[in-house]
Amino acid sequence: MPCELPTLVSEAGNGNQAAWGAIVDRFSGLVWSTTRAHRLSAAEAADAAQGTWLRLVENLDRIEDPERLGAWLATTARRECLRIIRMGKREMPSDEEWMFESDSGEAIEARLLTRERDETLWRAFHAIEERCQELLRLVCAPDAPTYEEVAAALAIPVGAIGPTRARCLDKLRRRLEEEQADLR
Amino acid sequence: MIDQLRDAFGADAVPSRVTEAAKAALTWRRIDAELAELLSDSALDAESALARGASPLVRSVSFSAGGAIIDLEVQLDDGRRVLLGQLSPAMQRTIEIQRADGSESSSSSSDELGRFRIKLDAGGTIRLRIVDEAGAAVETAWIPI
Repeated sequence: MPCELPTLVSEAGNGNQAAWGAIVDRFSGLVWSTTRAHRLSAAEAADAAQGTWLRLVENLDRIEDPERLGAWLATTARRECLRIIRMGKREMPSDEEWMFESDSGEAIEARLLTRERDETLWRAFHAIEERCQELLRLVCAPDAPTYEEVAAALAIPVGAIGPTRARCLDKLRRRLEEEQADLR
Repeated sequence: MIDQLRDAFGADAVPSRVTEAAKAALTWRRIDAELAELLSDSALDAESALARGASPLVRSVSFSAGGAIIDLEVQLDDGRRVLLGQLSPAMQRTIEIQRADGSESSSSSSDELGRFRIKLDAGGTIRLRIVDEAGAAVETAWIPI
């Protein structure tokens, strides 16, 4: 399966499941990080992610610039997240809730607290401002999204990411030092 | 510290069911139908959505395809959903509700004034497939309800 995006997009548009699978494999981390940066629970994040992929299926024959598919998906995922957030306390689609051991973002994070180092890090992370948490969740996502994708996911200018990242890391570092001082 | 963060976020991996569902989504490719695009959705409209926690009980969604408009009002009824719809111009059509999770679809039809009313037992991600007597179909964009 060739891995150039324009080929994958047009092949997927013809119903080629292997091409579609390659697209999903390449970007599912980005879509997931975007939903989690918006602090959705696991069930909500799953709905937002699925909404994003369905939107892409709808638009496969109309993607104008396949090379920038990551940014398109990040923008779409952001919109799906906002919709779910704004649906607010309405009872959300949760047919698939059974698929998660637990439902809340907090519970997922609790599972991440495997090491004390991480625990301190998480405490510091949650103490900094939300915009910083959102940005760092994406900038430091495991599959390293591009700045263009991060900008699309958060609706901020590409040029703002570098300086904001530095400022947020600085805040996190200072907060972490305070946490560690408290432990001593 | 970036490495520490990347490590920590790495533990929040994409659940495999989410990736599987994404891969299965290609089966919903439109083959024989025209897309009715989302025109507006009160859940996407900044003015109507004050904040998370606001609890609008009625949501209105519109789609357009060619010259036709599909207006939908989604009401919550104790976990169930009631869809009140209007096709403009008024047309009698078969209307099928398809569910993205692959569970059984339900069917109804609009009356001579283009109105329809469909009750669903649960929410989920759905789309409408609207078919005329000659078999020509329009499918709306997917929406979570």
